Amino acid sequence: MQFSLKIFLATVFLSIAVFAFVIYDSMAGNLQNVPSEAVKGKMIFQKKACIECHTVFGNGGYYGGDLTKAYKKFGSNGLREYLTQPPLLSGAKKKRHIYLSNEEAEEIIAYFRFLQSIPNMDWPPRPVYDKKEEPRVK
Amino acid sequence: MFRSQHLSYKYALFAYFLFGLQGLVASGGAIDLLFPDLGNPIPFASGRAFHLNVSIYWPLIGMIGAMYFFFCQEAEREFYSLKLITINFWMLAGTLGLILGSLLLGFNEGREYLEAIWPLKLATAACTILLCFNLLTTYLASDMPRSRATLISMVTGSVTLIIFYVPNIVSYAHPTVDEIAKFMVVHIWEEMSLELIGTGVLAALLIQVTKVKRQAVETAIYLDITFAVLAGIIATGHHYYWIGVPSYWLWLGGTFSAMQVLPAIVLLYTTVKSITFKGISDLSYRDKITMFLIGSSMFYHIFGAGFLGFLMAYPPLNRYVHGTYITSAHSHLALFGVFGFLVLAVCFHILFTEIILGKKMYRWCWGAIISLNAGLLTMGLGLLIAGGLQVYFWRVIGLSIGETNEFIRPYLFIRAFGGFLYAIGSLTLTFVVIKGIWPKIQVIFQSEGRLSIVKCDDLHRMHGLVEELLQEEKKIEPLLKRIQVLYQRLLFFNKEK
Repeated sequence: MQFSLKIFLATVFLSIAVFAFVIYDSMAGNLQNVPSEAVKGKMIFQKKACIECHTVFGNGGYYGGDLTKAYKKFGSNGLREYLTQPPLLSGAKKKRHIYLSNEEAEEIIAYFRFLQSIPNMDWPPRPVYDKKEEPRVK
Repeated sequence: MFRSQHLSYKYALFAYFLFGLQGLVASGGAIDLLFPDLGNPIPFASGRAFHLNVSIYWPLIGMIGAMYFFFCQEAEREFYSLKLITINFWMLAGTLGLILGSLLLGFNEGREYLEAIWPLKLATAACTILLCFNLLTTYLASDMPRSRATLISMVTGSVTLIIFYVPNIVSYAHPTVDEIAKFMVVHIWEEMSLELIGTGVLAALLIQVTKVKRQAVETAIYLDITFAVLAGIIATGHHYYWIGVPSYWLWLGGTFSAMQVLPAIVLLYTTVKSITFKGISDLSYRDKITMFLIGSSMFYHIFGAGFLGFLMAYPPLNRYVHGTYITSAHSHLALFGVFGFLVLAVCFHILFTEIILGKKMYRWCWGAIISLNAGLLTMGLGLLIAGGLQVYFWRVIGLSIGETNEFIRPYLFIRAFGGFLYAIGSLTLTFVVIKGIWPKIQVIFQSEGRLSIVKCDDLHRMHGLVEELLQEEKKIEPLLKRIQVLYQRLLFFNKEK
């Protein structure tokens, strides 16, 4: 077998092995169990395709803002009110945010509560010039 | 020509059709974002999911077609099974039709880029398995050296398509695990698997078009694909910085992402090395279009994917720019800019190997390509400015997302205008390709169909020789006129066949 081919194949196997190992190391023992209500909330989040407008961990649609720490920022009551009595969308005069029933809202709030508990090196960063005190979680 | 190559035409044609469709739907989405009350017939979420999925699938289908075309040329034998090439096409086309149709009807699994429902993801995995089986059996049966870089590159790229897709057939309860799996497709497919396939296809194309010696580029191809694997896989870490994994991913992701510029530079070096100025002037109309599209791909590879990606992957900077329109600018420039243009180039080359495209139509092609580039650069610029302002208003001075959206609206208009230019280019190019192919459309979809007995390249060469003789030898003009008449008849015959 040609030397270049040997080097190439060794690189492929080694890279996949290292990648698999670090992923295993990142997950094993580091991830908390997801509460069942949060799992239901995640399903609703997916079913309603929220990711097309919003980001979670910064990934998704860039127009609706990031929801990783939405629970910390708005609290249960704020989120419930927003989801069950949806306001107009940014730049719209008629079109409103998607409506959720009370039960769906509770489950999605449980999902947001779980999301904000994930230790992700405090991302998204707090605004550089934001001197306001952080709102208390209700 | 091999029969396998004839069977690959339908992949290239389908890729062009989807490419045209993508421009149209994406423009609709950009307008919907600016005027939410307009009453778009396609809901924004469905349209975006459609746009994301088609943006992955059309380059994939085009690249698979290109592999069927160039792999047998490089292996110097027919594919193990010709029937599987056709079956694979109908499976892929059917799967994609169902995916896009179901997304428009609102069946959405809610995972970005992986919105298709799981049975259709299973079907996608089955399509890639079929492709790998045909490639591997052909590779093993080939009499060519096993170490031929182009073959190795395409085989490895295809096998890794399956390895990294399988974990994504299902979704996971834990959002961190979901994100880990997702980027095995969103990142590794694009920046490793398709990079390997693309390098193999591009090298095979350059060897054919520019007549560069294989030995001269073989080492460079190996260097390129080794760097692509080494950097590509672990550089996935730059997508993992903020998803809830240990902090060592900042080092891993940052270091390996920085190395991702290397394969782009090696690829550029290989391409430039294989092209000479005289070589370009001697190219046929078709190959000039092909080379310009490859040149466009190289440009975005270096600036859109390479340097912009390099800056964005630096963790302290990524902390602020991540999750803004800057990421969107990067993905447009890297996904369409690099792979889109490359797939358009190889598919154009494939489709007009035997079918002759009228001289007038090439003018439209040039116009379309200029419009595509202008559109992409305008979109990229609009998104970069919008993203930069998002960082400032949202992440630095702490305005709300609603207030920030009001400030960036003008730049989203620029993005929509770029999208409009892009859509004009994509629809024009698709129209030209389909119009050029239309007289032979039935033959393309017949499993055993043959298109013509004359290759476009041979015709181009003969045309050049006759022109040269006409200029130099006035004395034998009558004789040459007779050759020219014969040549015209040959052309006419080829068109009618």
